[in-house]
Amino acid sequence: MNTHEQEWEAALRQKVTEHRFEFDPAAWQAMEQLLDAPPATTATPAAKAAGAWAGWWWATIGWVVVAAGALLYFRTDDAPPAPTPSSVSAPALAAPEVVAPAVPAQSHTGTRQHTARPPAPQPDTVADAPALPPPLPPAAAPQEVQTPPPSDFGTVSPLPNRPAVLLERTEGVTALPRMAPNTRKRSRRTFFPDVVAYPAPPTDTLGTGNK
Amino acid sequence: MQYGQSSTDEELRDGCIAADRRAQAALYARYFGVLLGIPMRYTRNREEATAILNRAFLAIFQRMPHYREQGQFRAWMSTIVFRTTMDAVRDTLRQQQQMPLVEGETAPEPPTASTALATLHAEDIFRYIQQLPDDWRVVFSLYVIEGYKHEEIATLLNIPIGTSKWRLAKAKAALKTALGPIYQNEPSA
Repeated sequence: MNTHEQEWEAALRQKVTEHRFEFDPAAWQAMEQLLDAPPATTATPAAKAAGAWAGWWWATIGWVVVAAGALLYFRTDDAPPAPTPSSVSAPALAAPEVVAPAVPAQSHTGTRQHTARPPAPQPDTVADAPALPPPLPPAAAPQEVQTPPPSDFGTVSPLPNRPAVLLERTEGVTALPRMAPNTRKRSRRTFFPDVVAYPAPPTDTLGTGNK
Repeated sequence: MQYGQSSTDEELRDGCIAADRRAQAALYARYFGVLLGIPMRYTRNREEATAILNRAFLAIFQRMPHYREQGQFRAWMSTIVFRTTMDAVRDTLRQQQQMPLVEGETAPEPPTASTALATLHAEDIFRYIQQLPDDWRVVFSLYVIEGYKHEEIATLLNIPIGTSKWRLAKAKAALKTALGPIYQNEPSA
């Protein structure tokens, strides 16, 4: 921007900002009509109070809905599973000793005895907790669950909440090669002793006398 | 109490707070000529500017009890008028209505070669500015007259900075074409 343009704009700015228009009586008449018009957007105090109460009312309804949804969600998760007539004895959460396999597992290395498995931690507050409402009825008719054939992995303890359809699938499941037990203390078996059972000792199929 | 030209701004303010119509009329008459120039720079004609100014005065009367005696009373009113004008301008630009000139609204007489900007009447300058398209005129007034920067104009109008610069260049070019002989002469000649 050159000097001439700056001077020209400064002169234009001064002329525009310092100009004073003549008073127009018609403008004041329009202004009086505007002043005499009732305020259209101004709410009365009673209307404001009603709006505030309506806001609190809807907020309360929203909180009640959220709380009811949360309560229903957690109640569904904590409710004991519906009893299913099955040949597999599904252990209950409160009886972890039933989860232990029928055949006591023996260690391959002979240095670790898994029979002395620590019981699953149980909350102490279960006995003191208030009685829960009766569980919801099962959605579908109970299905007969067949016992999977015994495999080299020994007895697999079913999950308490495991769907029956998972237990039924036995065909097409290829047996994975058995691996030496991991000596690490922190393994899946350590964390989930009632889910992942220790495999049974291999049978002496070749008659070599080695197990 | 009688209100007139001899009344002070404080007296008029007290009267306006008490909803005295005579005080409101005196205040309106005192500042009408000064404040009308603000919407005149952003609108297409005087009627539109007067309507915006009346809405701004209504806001001034309503907010008068909240006025704190810090700074000039005229500057406080100018701020309200400017904000009211900007609200109206944004509504106009949002509608994207490139309305033609109102019938009867004519361009000013073309300036002669000997005319200087200092000798040109201010209302003719307003009319030249009002001949510009809406979006060009708004950017030109904000930048040249109000002294805003392009970043501030972009924020104010919610447009890109490049658009603001482009509109300013177009408005300046149009004004130079319209005011050719005047622009060529020295502004104070």
